[in-house]
Parts: sequence; structure tokens; C-alpha cells
Amino acid sequence: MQMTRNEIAEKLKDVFKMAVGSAYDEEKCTEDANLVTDLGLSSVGILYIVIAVEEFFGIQFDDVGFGDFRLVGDVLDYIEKKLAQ
Amino acid sequence: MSLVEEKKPKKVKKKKKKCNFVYDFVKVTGVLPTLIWFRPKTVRVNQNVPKRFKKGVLIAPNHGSFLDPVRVHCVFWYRRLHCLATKNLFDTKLKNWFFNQMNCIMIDKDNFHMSSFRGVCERLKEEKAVVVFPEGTVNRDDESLKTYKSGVILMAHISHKPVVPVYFAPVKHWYSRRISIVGEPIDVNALCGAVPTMEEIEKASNYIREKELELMQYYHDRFDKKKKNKES
Repeated sequence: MQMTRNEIAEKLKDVFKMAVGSAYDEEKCTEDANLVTDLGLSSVGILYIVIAVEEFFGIQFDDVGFGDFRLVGDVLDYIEKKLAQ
Repeated sequence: MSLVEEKKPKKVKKKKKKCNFVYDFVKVTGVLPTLIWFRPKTVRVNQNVPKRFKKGVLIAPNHGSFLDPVRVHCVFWYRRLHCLATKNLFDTKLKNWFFNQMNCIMIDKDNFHMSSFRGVCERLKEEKAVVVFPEGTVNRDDESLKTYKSGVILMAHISHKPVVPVYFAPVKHWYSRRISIVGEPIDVNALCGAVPTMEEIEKASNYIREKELELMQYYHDRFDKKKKNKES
């Protein structure tokens, strides 16, 4: 079953919650939020998100560089594209 | 004789093994000069540390010198080691070929790629020994360790392999003996649980750093005191 963008975003919020920890602020987690400056993720944090997303959504990331994901929206776009394949 | 003809088992194509000629050649030719120069001494911190690590293992030493990859080969001389190496080392075709032959896994610090991470996990799952310096860069400070990058924990957790902390004692002179302390293997999955949060992973990373600090203390208690006693 195809997931809508909103459903993906809701599921993705759980992943961000696990990655950011106690400092997680749901209001900040918008599509325009920057992963590093707004959510405070380190490079390992982004690696964690990639692994968690792979497990949560059952997809496999290509050989992406972490520079490819700047905003939350970029991650959403990528998941959407992968799920559509 | 049975009427039913027995089916011949299908031939399973074996995965082509990587040729390690260059790696072994460098290792064999480098043994004598290394032994003479380094005079390595390896100490196991207690009886729980196996004499030889046979299965997949993630070796996490401190990084005080650019010669540490050679030192780690002195400690785990019985294994073919796979080291994470910075992208700068692969900048020419010759260096790229050489370091690939030396079982190095390229890592781009500025723009980390999933292929590096997957490369480490795959090798660990193939029961190989991988060396990762959790400090990230060379740390010239002999008295403390930099904060450990938690990527090591993620790699060990995904591949279900233990992390072995190793402490390389600092050397005062180029001719000084190289002493290495090997700690007990740490089961990361037992530390973090099945689905760890990032905070749990960072805690586990700090735990490994603490274990390494204990190894540092062990070295100071055992070897520095001996020296002081001799001097007095």
C-alpha cells in the first residue's frame, strides 16, 4: 500500500525523536527544518536516521552522501521516491 | 540400485576470494624492520581477554600517531586487518590501488557515504577484523583521549560484533618500545539493547572511552611505576 507524504512524515517524526533524544522539539520538525542547525543532528545522528529509516520503511538507501540531506524535506522526498519505485 | 535417479546437488558458485598478495607481501617484508624498530610488547589486561580473536571483531584503539596502523598489525599479527582510512590517502591512482590492496576502507569525513559504513558492516559479517580509530583524528595529547565518535557503536551494533578497546601507550623517543594494552571485548548489543536510541548509542560510546581510560591507567600503574622505581 502506497503511503501518503503525511503518513511518511508522521513515521519519520518517530525516527527523529529517537535520534535527537530529549532535546527533540516536535514544532521544530518541519519540512524546512535543517537537520544540523535546527534539529542538532551530528553526522552520526544522520547515519542513525538512515539506518532507522531503512528498518522502519523497508527501503535501502543508495550510496548517498550525508551532504545530500540538508533539510527534513530532503529525507521525505527521498523516502517518497524510494517507496514509489 | 535405486530406480529414482538421485539428483546431483547443484554447484553453488563460490564467491571469488580477494587476492591478498600485496597485503601479505607488505606484511611479511615489514615484519623484521618493524620488530627491530618497535620491539612491540602486547599486554592482555586480564584472563578474560582471548589470546587470539578468531571471529569478526571491531578493534578500537586510541590514535596517537600516524604509525598506529602498523602498531595494530603488531598486536593482531595473526589476522588480516581492514582499516578505515581517510579519503586523502586515496587521492592518486597509485595510492588508491595500494590502499585498496592493503584492505583499507575509504572514509570521507566531510561528506560521509553509506558505502563506507556498509563496507565495514559487510566485512564484520564476513568474520573479518576491522580497525576503526574512534577518536577520528590523530590525538597528540598523551594524557587524555578525545571524545569518541559513536559511529563505531552503530557499526558494531548492526553487525552484532564485539568491540575490542586497545590502548597504545605513548612513546617518548623514536626508539622506545611500543607497549599496547588489549582490553576485554565489549558486547555492544548487550549495552544498547535491540533498538537503541541515539542517546543510548552515545552512552555506549562513552563507556568504551571509559574502558580505554582504564587501560591507560593500567599502563601507568604497571609500567610507569616500574620506571619510577628504577629511577629512584
